[in-house]
Amino acid sequence: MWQDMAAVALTADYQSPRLAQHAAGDALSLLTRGVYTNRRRGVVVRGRPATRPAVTSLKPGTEPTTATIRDCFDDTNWLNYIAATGQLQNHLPGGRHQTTATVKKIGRRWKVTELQVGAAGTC
Amino acid sequence: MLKRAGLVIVIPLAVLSFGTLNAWADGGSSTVACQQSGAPGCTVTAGTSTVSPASNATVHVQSGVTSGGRCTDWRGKPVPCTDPTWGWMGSNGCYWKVATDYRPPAWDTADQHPGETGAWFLFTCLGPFPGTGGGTVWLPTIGGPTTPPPTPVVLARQAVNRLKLATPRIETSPSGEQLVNVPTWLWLARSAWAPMTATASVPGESVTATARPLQVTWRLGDGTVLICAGPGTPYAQGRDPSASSPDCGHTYRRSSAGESDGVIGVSATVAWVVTWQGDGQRGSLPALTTATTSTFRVAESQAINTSATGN
Repeated sequence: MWQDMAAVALTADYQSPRLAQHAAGDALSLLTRGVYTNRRRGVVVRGRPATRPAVTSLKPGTEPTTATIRDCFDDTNWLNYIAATGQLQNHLPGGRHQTTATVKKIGRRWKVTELQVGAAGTC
Repeated sequence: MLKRAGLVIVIPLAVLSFGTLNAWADGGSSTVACQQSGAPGCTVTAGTSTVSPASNATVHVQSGVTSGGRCTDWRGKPVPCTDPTWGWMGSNGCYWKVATDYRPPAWDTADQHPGETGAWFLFTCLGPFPGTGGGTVWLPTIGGPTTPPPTPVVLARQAVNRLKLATPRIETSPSGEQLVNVPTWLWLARSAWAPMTATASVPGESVTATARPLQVTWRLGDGTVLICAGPGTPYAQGRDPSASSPDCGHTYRRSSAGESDGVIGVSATVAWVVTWQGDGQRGSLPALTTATTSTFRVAESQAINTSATGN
């Protein structure tokens, strides 16, 4: 999901179907709105986000269809730039964000359906 | 809930809590930080300061949100209640504008709102880095359409429409007939040559437009177009009648006797520079003009035209 987001945020193309490849529901809406907001502001995101996901629960026990994932998402090297100038949007650093996600099996694919990203410095 | 005349929009706090600036502005992950409802500890922050309202508070997305119609940033510093880029100030310290062009793609099923009364809004929270905190939200609207307050420029145009610029009044010396080869002094009545102001306002916002006379374009009927930088100097009794005006004069060389009705048409057009200021902003608008017309009779003057051969 974050790789999809990184690819789409590179051009701020919020209409890209790629966002929906590993996200659905509220999580997809969050990503789409976020990219749209960037687009309106002339912001693109460059660099590479880092993830360290860990599954914290799987339900049901057999043939699970819902998983909870905990992550310490790191965007230290995935930063906002002004698209027109190529300059960093500002000089605030990125950081590590405590993140939880609900992942559901939709058809044959697992997709993030709920996403909560904490502020920088929360993990 | 805060209420004022007109539209009130209610937003659960959690919906607002999108994009902490200290995350959004830096790392790309913050595009999603806190926008989700119910996220714990998420606030609309501006740098290190929290500007979000208290839990379960509602936000009034309308201009002129504070008493007296003054708008302030998260430090309490006065800021314009509307901004040409970011929109109008809401009670949560963020600027709001309607995101008229936002069309969530069809596969974004959770953000389709068919048949619902509401609109997409783009909000931008003030902080150390303008235009960073904020996000995009769907807000159900209560009580009417989501009409943002007029921007200062719009108000300025309204103010300009209220300007009552006096029509210029032509004065000359000689005061009646003009005489061939005798300098004509041209001026406008001073009463119409002064800055004029008018104000337009809505609650929380007021803009004053000022028009200042800049120059006069005289069309003198004999093909002469004369531009004078001021209203012209009135001729004072006792001055040498053969002297020219120091700043706005003309000397006719031909009588108007051959013209229809024996007169020539003359016009004076005043150009006004228009500026406006208000709500912490200022600017200029296209110039205005006022004009008047008259007719001059230009006669031969035997008495002064001594060098002429006469007829």
